[in-house]
Amino acid sequence: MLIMNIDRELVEGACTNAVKDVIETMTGFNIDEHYKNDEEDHISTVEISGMMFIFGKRNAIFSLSMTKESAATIVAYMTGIPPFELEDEDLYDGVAELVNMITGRIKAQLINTEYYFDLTPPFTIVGKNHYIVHKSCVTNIFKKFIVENLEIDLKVYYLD
Amino acid sequence: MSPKLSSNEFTLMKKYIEEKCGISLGEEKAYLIESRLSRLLISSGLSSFSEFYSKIIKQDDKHMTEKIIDAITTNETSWFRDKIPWIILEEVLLPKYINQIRNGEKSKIRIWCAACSTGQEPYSIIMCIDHFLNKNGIKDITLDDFEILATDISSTVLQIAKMGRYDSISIMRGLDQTYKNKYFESQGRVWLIDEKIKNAVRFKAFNLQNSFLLLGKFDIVFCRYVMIYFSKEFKEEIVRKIAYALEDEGLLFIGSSELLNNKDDYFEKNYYQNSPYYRKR
Amino acid sequence: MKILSIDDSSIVRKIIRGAVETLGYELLEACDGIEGFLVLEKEYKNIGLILLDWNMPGMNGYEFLKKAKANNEYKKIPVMMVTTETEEGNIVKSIQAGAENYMIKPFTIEEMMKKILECLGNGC
Repeated sequence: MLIMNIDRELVEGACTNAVKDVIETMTGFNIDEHYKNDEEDHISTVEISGMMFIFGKRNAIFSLSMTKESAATIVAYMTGIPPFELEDEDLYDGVAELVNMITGRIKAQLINTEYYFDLTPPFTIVGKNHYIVHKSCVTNIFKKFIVENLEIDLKVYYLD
Repeated sequence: MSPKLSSNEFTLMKKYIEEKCGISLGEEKAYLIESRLSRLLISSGLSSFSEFYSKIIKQDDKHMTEKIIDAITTNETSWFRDKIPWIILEEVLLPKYINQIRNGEKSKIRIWCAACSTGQEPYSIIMCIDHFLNKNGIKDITLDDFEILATDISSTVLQIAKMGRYDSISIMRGLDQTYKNKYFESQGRVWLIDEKIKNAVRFKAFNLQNSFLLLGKFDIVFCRYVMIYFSKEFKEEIVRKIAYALEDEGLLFIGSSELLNNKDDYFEKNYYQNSPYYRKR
Repeated sequence: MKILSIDDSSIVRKIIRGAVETLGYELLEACDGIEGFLVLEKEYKNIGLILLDWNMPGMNGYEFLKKAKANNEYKKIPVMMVTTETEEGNIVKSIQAGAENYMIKPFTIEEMMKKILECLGNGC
């Protein structure tokens, strides 16, 4: 189904597969997608967001957002280092690496489609309750994933 | 010579892998072929996948087939994975087996972990048995009354399994504090499993495409999360061979998310705490 | 014997440390190709394997690989690429530049240990 010229099923499917694959491989957690209602669509309040720009026939921004507590648990299971031994920089780097791997997996699934892309290095935005706000007419994909008491938001904002 | 694997060659490679190795590769795993087979490409002295494909088709080499299987399959595992098989072992099977050994009905309980990967599954079984014996104050039966055979196609993962050394990442996956404290000793980030547990498992390289006859008969077979890679035909063959490798009333445990295709011919599905396991017909 | 991990992510290097130390080896670290060469200069006689990321600022992994394989002292050290890079042809490109093995991120610790042993035990 094409909405705003995006094959939503194709891209969303690639996103879901990538998040599940990466989180399950790196942490051992079985993560599930949380099917949210439309009111959760435009604003997300989190503490750490890993981001990457992608360039191709369609340019976009990928973001992977979570609370600091979620980041600490995930990075702890990635590294085998208990959360209380992790520095803030470990969490920022961990989230950046996760978005890097997830975007890499998405890219691999979109080979030979018009959504194939190149990407920038990942970076991290940090701040308690930071908002990622966009105009309501921007085409975006928003997926929420849950494992136990952890929540992870994946967003794709198409720039054109 | 182009270094790229063309889509036609890729399709042919997928078909070869399915027919010769019994492994079915979904499209979402397609990109793994190049990375997983890169080492085999180099060690074959070739510089492109098209040459590699031509070589393996012409030579039909069983040894190469084993290497491809080893390269393509993922060695993901954890301690006490899915939990329920060990609950069944502790609450249903071990009490029965203890009685059978005491009555002289059985001299030894034989358990086979097919596709044991880096050893977490067979070691989990032995820890479960040892914990049960200690918890219930059983002194007349020991680990020597149990034989655990753990096999895998990869001699490299078997080498890792035999070491009995685990990093803190692996230790966090599925191992509760009781078992960790009782059976592991830490050296920095590395955890060493108790020698008694390590020595209770016999590791052996084995390809599931081979006959199971020489392995003997088993009371339990764990064949978990390996059949997910196989074609329908190969899965059915494995299920049939496992059935013949089991003693009467022998049991098969598969992964909690797996399904058995032709099970009704050979197995009866039972449930414990709403989780299935399979008893030989 | 030591293993050198060259990756701009400290988290990835921490994960690799778990695998390397469990196998009984010592890990050396560098955050990009330039630092990688500084470590190689001091330690190349002790290094049995290089685990190399592709996308790094400064000198990327592919540039490092070509330079290392062109150096008489470093070229014998086997290199395994450890990267998210799955671009069609890039895997073979790195093999043709001299990489002995290739691992795509994400990976399990078991996969990493297995591939390290394959590189060391069987000469990659």
